[in-house]
Amino acid sequence: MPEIALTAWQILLVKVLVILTIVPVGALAGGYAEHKVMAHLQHRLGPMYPGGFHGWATTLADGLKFLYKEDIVPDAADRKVFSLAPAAIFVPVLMIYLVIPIDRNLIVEDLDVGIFYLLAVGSISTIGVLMAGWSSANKYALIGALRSAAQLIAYELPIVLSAAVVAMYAGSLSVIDIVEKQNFPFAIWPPGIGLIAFLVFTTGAVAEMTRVPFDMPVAESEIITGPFTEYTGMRYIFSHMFAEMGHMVAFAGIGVTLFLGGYKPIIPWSPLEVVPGVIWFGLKFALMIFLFLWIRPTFPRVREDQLQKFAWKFLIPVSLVLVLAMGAWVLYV
Amino acid sequence: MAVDERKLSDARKLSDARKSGFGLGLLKGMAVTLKHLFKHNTVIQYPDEKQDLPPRTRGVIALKEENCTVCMLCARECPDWCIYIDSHKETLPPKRAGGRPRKRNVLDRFAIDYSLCMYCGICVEVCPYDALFWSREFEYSEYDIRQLTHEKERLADWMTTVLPPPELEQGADLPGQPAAAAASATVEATGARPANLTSSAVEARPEQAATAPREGSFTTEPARPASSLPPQEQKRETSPEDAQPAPGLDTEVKAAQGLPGATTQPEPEVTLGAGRAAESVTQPADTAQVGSDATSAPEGQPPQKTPSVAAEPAVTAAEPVSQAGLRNLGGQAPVARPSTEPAGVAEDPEAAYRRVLQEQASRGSSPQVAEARAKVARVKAERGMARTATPAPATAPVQSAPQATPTEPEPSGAPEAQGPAPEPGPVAPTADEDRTDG
Amino acid sequence: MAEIWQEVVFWVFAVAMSLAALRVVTSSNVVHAALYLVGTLMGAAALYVLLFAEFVAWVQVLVYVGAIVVLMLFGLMLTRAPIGKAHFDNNQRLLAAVVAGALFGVTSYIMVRAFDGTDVNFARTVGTKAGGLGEVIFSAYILPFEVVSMLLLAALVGAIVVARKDEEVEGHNAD
Ligand code: SF4
Ligand code: SF4
Repeated sequence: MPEIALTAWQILLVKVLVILTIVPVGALAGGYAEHKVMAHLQHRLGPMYPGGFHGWATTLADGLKFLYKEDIVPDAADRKVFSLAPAAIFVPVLMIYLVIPIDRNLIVEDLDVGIFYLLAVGSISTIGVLMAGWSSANKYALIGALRSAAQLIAYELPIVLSAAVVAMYAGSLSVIDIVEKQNFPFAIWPPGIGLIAFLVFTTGAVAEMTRVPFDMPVAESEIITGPFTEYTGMRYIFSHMFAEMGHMVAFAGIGVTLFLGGYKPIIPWSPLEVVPGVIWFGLKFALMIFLFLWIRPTFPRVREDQLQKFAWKFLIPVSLVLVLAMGAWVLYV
Repeated sequence: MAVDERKLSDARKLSDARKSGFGLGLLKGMAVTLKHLFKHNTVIQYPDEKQDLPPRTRGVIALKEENCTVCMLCARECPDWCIYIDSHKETLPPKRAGGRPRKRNVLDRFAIDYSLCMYCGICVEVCPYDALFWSREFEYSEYDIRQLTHEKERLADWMTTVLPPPELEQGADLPGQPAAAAASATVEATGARPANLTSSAVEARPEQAATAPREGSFTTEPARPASSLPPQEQKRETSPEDAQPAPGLDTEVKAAQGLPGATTQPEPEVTLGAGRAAESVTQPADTAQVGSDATSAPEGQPPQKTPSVAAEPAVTAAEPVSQAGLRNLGGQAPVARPSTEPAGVAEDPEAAYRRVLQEQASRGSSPQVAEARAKVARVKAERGMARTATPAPATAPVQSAPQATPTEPEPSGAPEAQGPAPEPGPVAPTADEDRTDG
Repeated sequence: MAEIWQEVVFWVFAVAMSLAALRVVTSSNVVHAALYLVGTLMGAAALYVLLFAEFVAWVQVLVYVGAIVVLMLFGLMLTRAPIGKAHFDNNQRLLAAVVAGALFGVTSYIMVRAFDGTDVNFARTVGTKAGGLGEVIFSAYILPFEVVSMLLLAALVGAIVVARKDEEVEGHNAD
């Protein structure tokens, strides 16, 4: 086998290309999964026609349809900001994928500050949402953007704090280290703290994705699609569909990495070690995605004030207590 | 994960069942949806599999053409006026030598506008000759709303999809005995205008109940041509809108008095659905289009009640303008006259056919509709009739169509009394008229 | 080799940042100004990365871009950000220029004096690991750290006092 010598730059390029393909494909697959899982949870069948077998090509067809749609920029809109916003929303989502370890060696960059990077990059999308809402020159879009920003700020804190809990336990910010430090039973250990941190993280993640039940920013019954009301065609799909799906996939990956033991086997038993980490990661990842999809058709939408109260008066205090508890655990146990 | 403490306590007060514990309600909800994930679901993949609809599904109305006697009950009772019927009368040779020649109604057109139909089923109920049926067929959508007016051919096709009548229940009355009595009662109540003015008129047409007392007051006066009602006429001259209900009222008078036409089947070939008369039937001549919509209700009744007609007996088609100036209905006055009058506007049948076809095409009617209208126009032209929104052939009125009673003093030049009395519809007289008449 | 690349990247970012910073003060649309500010701050974060100070870079992104500018935009949009061509300028450019110039002069003077003669060489920069940073903050710089947290706490309390609508604090609100 001839030695393939790649420079660091070439490897990086390949990795980035892989991500650039994984994200849209993942978003399409995620969209299809969402259609089908949600349908079955609601006692329906979901799409059955496109592609023949159980409508597997639904999201592909959707995407093509969006490609052909007219790209409309409202007259009163701030053109530059309007067209930049989808990129400002979507690029950070892509960047999240850089530090998710699919296997021990399958990570684009094992940053020293992995978790911190995840959180920092994830927070950039907020600006894109605000840009989109403001530049649309539409009051629904503006209201949606404000709601969205308020929500993203509010729910970022629980996520950051729950991630901090994990980082304290692992004693590192590097995602690989965190995965290595986690032991069976995942998401539970240290007793109580792990599980609650996981629940806090999941709740925060659902809210960050602005998915039901925390989808007030895009509450179609009152503000159409919120910040994305005026978007059409590819811009819409990038700013809303892909961003939401990409976010979901990214958060599922983060959740698996931080709480579910990443690429490790589900139970620490040596024969299971043979199965490649990618498979374990994929299994846990699917579980996490299913959790997100499961939440959506189950709960009704939370009102805006309840949503804010829930974050500030419940989730954040709980996660602060978690941080304290984890500090005590690390120091004295 | 209830947030609001107050809400939480409220919820606890509400039901003990919710007192299960923090977040348990959420888990319960998730369990419910999860259960459904594994249930076999009952979705019917519509175009591939079809549901067996219940036998009484109201899909579409099918017409058994042979059974229809053009009694017009369905068209008249239809709350939406969306049934269009055209017919003509045929004279058959007598069965026996020396007998009277028989007359028979022939259905020319039977159409239901399904863009208006609200599937109330009244037409099916009311048909005394079992000509209308419910079919379970429901796939008859069209790309153009105008094509939803389905003609009798299509309606007849649907007869094949009509289910046989359900089995009688055990111990049910056999048809023909008490049921027959009930049926005849229905015919009487709904179809026939009561010959004697009784409360059954009110029962039969509840929507006219409001006008019933007024009918009573009317009937104290003898039947008369409209010109004998100077106060009313004055009103009409000054305000055409006020005048609109008047012809209807007049009909009511006739009906209430048991005029021959009114008692049984007062409708000649008036195409009903008056609100849409202007588009659904052959258009009146161009000069007559003025306000045809607004005045379409009384169109069928030729304007013998306009004072102008009464005053100018020699009005012909050549001078419609003078009438139009007086009253917007007047524009149609000359053309609405039956063909007994010298037909000033009669034209070559073929030319009429082509012209109407063209007109309809340019107006975007569906081919069938255009053709039907053109045919109607040709028939009319053949008989030397003028083109009107509502054909009123005096030569072949539908059986027992209202004829002018000989007792009616007719102003010369007002032969329109022979014309059909249109269905009055639920138009109540205005307060003004109340005062005038009462 | 690597140094040259770093130099090139540095200059690209530096120029971009300066242009963005210029637009922040010259743009008459307040939201545009805030968005240019995002560009400037992101450039700063990129420069940190260039110096292997990853942690500081992502703190810069998380705090400044993710929180402060978002709050700024949020406040602007909630109150007085006209959409479209409407300009929003209070015609105090001269004053602003004087103040900003003075600030710039003073800071650069101090910086130049502080690093007098020290050559900032990319080859010699060693990354700051998060752990090391934490140790330094919580040992050598513990006093400034605590002072800053007290300051933030005071600001927090002050904000709450200002925002409250109680009868008793009505008078304070008037201030
Ligand atoms: S079912 Fe339709 S056509 Fe028949 S009476 Fe009712 S509205 Fe008229
Ligand atoms: S009620 Fe029946 S018989 Fe009379 S016109 Fe209608 S369909 Fe024909």
